Amino acid sequence: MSAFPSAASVPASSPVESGVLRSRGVRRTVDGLVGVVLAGCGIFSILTTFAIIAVLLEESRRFFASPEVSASEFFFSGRWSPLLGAEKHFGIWPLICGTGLVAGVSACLALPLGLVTAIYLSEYAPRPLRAFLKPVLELLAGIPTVVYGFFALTVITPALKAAHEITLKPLAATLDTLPSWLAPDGLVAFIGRGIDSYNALSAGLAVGIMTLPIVCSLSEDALQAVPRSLREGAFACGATKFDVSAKVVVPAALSGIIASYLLAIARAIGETMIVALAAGGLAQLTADPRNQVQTMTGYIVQVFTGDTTAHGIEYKSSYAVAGMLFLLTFIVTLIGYQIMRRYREAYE
Amino acid sequence: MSENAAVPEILRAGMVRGDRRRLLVDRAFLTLCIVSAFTSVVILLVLIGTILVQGVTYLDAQFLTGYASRFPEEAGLKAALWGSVWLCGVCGLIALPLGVAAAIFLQEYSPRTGLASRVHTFIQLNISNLAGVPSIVYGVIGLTVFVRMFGVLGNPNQYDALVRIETASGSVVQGLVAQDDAATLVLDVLEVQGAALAEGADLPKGMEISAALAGKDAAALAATGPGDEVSLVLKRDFTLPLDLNFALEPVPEGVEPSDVRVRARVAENRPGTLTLLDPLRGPVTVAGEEVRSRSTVSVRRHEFQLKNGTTVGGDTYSIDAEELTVLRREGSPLTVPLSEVASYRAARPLELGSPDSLFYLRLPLGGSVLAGALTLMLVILPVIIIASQEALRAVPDSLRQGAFAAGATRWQMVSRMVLPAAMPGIMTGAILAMSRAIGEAAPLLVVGGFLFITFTPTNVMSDFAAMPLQIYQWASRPQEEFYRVAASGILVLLVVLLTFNAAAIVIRQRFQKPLQ
Repeated sequence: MSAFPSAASVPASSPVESGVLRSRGVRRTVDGLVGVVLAGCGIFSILTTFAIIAVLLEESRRFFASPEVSASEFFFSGRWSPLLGAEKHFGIWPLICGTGLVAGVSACLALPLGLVTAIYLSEYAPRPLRAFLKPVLELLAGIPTVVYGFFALTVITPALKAAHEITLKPLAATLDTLPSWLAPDGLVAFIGRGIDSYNALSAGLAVGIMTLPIVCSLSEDALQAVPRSLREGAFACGATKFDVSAKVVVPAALSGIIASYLLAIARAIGETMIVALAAGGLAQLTADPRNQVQTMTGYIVQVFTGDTTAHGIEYKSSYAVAGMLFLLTFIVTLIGYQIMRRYREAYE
Repeated sequence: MSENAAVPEILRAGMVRGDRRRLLVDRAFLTLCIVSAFTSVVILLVLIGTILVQGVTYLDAQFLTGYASRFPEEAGLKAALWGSVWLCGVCGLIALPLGVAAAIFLQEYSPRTGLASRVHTFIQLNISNLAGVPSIVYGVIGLTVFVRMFGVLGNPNQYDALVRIETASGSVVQGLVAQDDAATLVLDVLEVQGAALAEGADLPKGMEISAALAGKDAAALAATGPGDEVSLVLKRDFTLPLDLNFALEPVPEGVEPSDVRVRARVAENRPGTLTLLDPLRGPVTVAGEEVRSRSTVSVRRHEFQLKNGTTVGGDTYSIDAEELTVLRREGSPLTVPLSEVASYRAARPLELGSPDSLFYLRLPLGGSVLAGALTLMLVILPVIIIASQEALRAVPDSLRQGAFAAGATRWQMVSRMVLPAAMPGIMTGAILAMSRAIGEAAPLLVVGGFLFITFTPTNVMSDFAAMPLQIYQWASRPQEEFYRVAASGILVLLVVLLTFNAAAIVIRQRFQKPLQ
């Protein structure tokens, strides 16, 4: 065994040995120390994750240990009114519903628009146009979300109200003139009902604008990764550019596109400032985006900017909500990465 | 049939439908593409256009040098601007070395075998997951870990006392003292009674309560005699100059002591007596039997030695004539008769240095610049790590091999060859991460950035405002005038961000040497 140099003595046999002999020990110590420090910085990220999980679990446990709360109510009840009223209700579903509504509206805007824009950028756009559009999308991606919230509040909501005035309201008025067996009063009232000052639609559209660059840039990366030969093969078969894009390139890049969708949805679920400004503060089970809703993030903001003490049940409930939020985004993100990794078509 | 099956699906479709229709579809799709691609351009233009139109009204030198105000024309961004500078400076000083070091570890020190390599893979996976955690969750974590430090060391930013303000017109405002120093008393309004405050009184708790009783402003309030009507605007974190501090309701001449309400910070609490700290007159001791009802709400951490020898520690929740209620970390609140309390000790935060000096540290961190910066660090760390890793990955392996061949250790190779080569890329990523930090509002909202503040930070323990928070606060006000102020704030924020992005582009183009 002793005939073989041990791993530690390998540098000693290097050609520059004589020149560095004196400082070799010092150098190696420094090297080792630096390695440990760097590893510590790397491990810090694991500590962060553990801190997140530990804090959320521990505080949620306290929340569920409170006499006012039961886990079955939290997960299965449809009433959420922890801050107002004599009797407090902690059913998470209205918050999930609000979050889903906002994320759903945003998905309706961002997913198709983002994909088509990505196809255009990847397959169609001439170089100078691409050089112009890419920075525009980067700019959109760099705008702080509080700005989008402001935009939703001061531009999108008034625009939606104006649009409502000239579309749904006259439609309802017209329907009202019809006999009631043809147009039931309930339906007319539903169609004609106005848009709340705070509403899920406006917030969702703003979140959609915010997530658009994410969908677009990740989808475009996926489209660009499809090898040229596939396109050329399709063109050789007489396909039009649309055929190539829609029937060859997009299916080939589907895993990347779906992953981009999931990551955008995760961002939409976790978005805070837009919904805090534009979505309102009333937790309700509704599927009508004209209503005001409260999202999970919106509730957390409400708790921490309101007047709750560090011991109240409302305060603890925000940790349970944050835990749900973390879990939800974590799962969506994880699925996204898994799809990206596992189903990625490997072309060489 | 069998021939058809062998033809590619696309070609088959083409043969069936005919060329003309396919070309039509192709055209239509191209139009759709162009329309959708330019939608983003239109959105950007509308966004910037509307903000410009709204924002120019109040954008002047006064806006940059003035402090927050309840009059839109006087409102300024100075505290928020400096708060953001402090936050991002401290955040960058901590996050950049940490992030770059983690990236170097992941990229250059990757072990190939054994447990170490598993840990390595786990860290890598973990970082991409951390990048997807909503920023408000980081805020909640920052609040627990940095601001409150799990409540182990007490709560520095908690309310000290319940305060009741009676205006001359008979309205009553009740709130918690959030902070008071020599000059100001900051109130969190809980409750408003009285018809005179009806306007805006249906706003949610903690939001702005504006009461236009008359045209006078707060400065004139001190000179207001009984019966006069006053203008009173109260909001969350309302700052009230001490000379207007009628919250303490000093004893007027000729009034029976039994009718006096004393509301102040608890200085001392012995069996039978309660000593309150009146910022104007010093300690005031009240006999227990003179206290008629629960007079103080305090959530400051205390330790009480009971006569039976046990110790109760926790945040005092209330002290009234007979009872002391202590909130404990575990279990329900504990109520002890005052006669049982032998002695008491207030747990003070750990302090290092003087609060006025640049070097001052206090534990727990409270809603300070440092706590905000650390929370922002959590948010941007994954961004910095991922960007730095990409920059390191772009450095060709030949550089590494060359350094090793010359006998360099791993650290010498990294510090003298790889890091300088990757520096422009790392800098670009770092700048973009910092611009993310500047625009981030949600975690700061939770950590406790102040929404209404009239000073700039002096050290890392100072309270802070931040630009996105200030914008949020203006935008969430009910008065439309403040929308314009918010738009002005957004313009300033966007200019700062554009400067950052421009710097990143310049660095990317100027210093990025081709490494082949």
